[in-house]
Amino acid sequence: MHVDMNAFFASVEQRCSPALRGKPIAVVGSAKRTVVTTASYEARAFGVKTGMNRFEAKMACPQIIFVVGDNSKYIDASVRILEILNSFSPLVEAYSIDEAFIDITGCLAPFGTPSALAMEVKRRIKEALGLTCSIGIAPNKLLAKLASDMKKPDGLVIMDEASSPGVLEDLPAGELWGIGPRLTEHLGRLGIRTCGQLGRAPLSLLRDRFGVIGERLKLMGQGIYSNEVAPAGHEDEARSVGHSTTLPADTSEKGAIRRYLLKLSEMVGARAREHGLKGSKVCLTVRYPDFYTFSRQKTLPSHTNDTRAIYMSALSILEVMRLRTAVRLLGVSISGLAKGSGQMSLFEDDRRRQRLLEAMDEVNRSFGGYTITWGSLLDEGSGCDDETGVISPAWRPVGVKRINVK
Amino acid sequence: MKFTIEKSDFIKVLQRIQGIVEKRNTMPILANVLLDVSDGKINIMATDLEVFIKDSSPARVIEDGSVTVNARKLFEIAKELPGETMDISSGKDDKVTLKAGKARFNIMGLPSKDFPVFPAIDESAMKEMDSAVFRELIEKTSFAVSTDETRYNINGFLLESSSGRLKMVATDGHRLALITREGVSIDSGSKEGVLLPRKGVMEMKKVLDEKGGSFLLGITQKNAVMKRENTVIMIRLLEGEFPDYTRVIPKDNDKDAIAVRADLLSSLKRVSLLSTDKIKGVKFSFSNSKLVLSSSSPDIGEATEEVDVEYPFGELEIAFNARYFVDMLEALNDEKVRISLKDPLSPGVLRPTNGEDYTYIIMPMRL
Repeated sequence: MHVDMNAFFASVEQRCSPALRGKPIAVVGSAKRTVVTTASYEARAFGVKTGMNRFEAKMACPQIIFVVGDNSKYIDASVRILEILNSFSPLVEAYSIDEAFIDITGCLAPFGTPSALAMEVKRRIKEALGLTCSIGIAPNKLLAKLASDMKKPDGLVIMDEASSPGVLEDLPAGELWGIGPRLTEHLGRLGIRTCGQLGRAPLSLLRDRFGVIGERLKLMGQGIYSNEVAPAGHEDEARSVGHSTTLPADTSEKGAIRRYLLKLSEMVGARAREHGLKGSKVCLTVRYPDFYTFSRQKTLPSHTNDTRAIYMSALSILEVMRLRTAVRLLGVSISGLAKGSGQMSLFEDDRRRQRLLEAMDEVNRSFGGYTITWGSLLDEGSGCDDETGVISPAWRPVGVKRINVK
Repeated sequence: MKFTIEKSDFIKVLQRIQGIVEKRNTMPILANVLLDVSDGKINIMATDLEVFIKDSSPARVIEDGSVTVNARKLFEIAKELPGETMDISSGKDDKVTLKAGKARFNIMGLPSKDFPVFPAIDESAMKEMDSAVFRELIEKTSFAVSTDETRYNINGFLLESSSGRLKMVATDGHRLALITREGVSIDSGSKEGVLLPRKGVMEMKKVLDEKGGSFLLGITQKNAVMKRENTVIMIRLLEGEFPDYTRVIPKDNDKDAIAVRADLLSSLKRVSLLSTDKIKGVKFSFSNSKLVLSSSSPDIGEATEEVDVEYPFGELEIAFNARYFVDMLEALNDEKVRISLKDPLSPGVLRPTNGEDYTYIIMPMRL
């Protein structure tokens, strides 16, 4: 079963202030330059879409009301929804802040039918939070996600082995979960446009073109998907730890860029240290004002989660980059993750530095982020305290992907 | 500029300089070699601004002159040209023509006046040194040099000369190698120790690897210079302070284990096959006359192996990165090594059993 909250951020806001109910609203970030993260259904009717900037949204719907997102509200709502879902089945996978998969095999007895269970889930969420959701029920996660997408808002679609081939036959391949625009384009070049065609495509062709995932693609075209619902703690290990930020204004000023890099490096380092992870690669992402985005990475001689080492590597990547224009967004991440090895340092200075980072992290954990931070982040006009205020799609309620937000 | 040169001589010289030519392309001219023809010979020079190399080769000179040309292309072309000799010439437009047999190449050069100037060298300040001694200093320490660019003060070797004794030290912050040779010294000016960058030293070693005998070595305020026959290499010293290595040499490690080097090396290589991917953690369990090496990886499995050691003390369990051990054991050719330990959280010391002039210190991993 897949539960997808309808216009989640906007609905939470409308729930919290009655004045907004029934009106076209758009939730935006707190930074000066931000985009619509969610539009209410009333606003969607005017053609307001996620990703539009304020101006575009205003053009589409002059009477639109902008609401600056309040992440703590959404996290609170999300956690409460997960609690409700957990009362139905222990196997709940929080896929993002407003989506979850639930394995309901074996939980049906008290309700009789899957649809009775789904109606009860909807009723409980509506009662507790006043929010609606779309639910899809199917033999696997792939089809459940597809089903929940078919009727919005407040939908309930049940798909089974008998009905799925009919749905898939003419469904564009790009509508399937996990098949993005690029893959869709590649498939299109092979003459594969619908899921039906994908399911019938010769395996050898898909293998030649896509390697090992070719087989999985063919099965997906047939509506077969074997990944189980992964409750918290059972998900795949994180492959990277990263943060990015859209700057309040495009800049090519070296000092400002460096300060943002330090701040991002500290965010990455602190989160990696919290989870005992060290990375062997540092990746720097840059986006220009025209949205051209690129990344460069660098392999380190040893694994690290030291803010300074991450920052120095990000800086050295930046130095060879030769920026074409001003920068709109910066991102820093580490990958090639390994659990801390416990290798100790030979020199007292290094050990002291290790203890310093541990002490900083502990203070920041007890008294809130940035209680102790790097001097250069406090420079007047550094602008580094601006948060964009938008929660990442990769957010998870527990584990290394739980990013603390204000 | 115009000359004819024996191809085999020329290729040898060009090969020597390939490692020094700048690859990152920050300044296009650094990808070039300078060819300077005068006095019946040709001088060849390359640099990345940290390491300078100058070499010369006899040639049949028809016209003096100089030009710079892409080092890699010149080397590749010279290797493929037919015949024993080749003709090289250049004109006012810095275009270089290479001819041999019926083949003819025209390649674009850059004016020689734009090439960095080779710093002046004072040969009187240089001292004679045995190649074998200097090579040994490098071979037994180079693996411990840090390759972490953010730690520039340990990206090289510390060379110390005092009272007729030469010391070479290298570390990466987790292990440290120190070798001492009596009866040799260099004149390092006013400084007691200098920091030699890794790349330059490895280039020096390449030249020393070609044959034995002696060479000249000199240290000035900013540079280290070596000269052998026509080859001169100059490297800029690293700035920064090497950590105080004397403070990390343990003095109270009282539990000694003696092992046969080759046996320990091959056992370690086997056992470390099953330690987790990148960090080769291996557990060393010492007990009476026995050392058990073990490793495990949650996804694959586990390995153990027993190694005979002379160890008359109580049980001790300690973990090390096997690679750090292997690097050192491979660099030695002594029959036996002595491992001196104190406790699981203090550094271990490795030495050949016959001599105190080589010390290798490894920090353990937390179990």
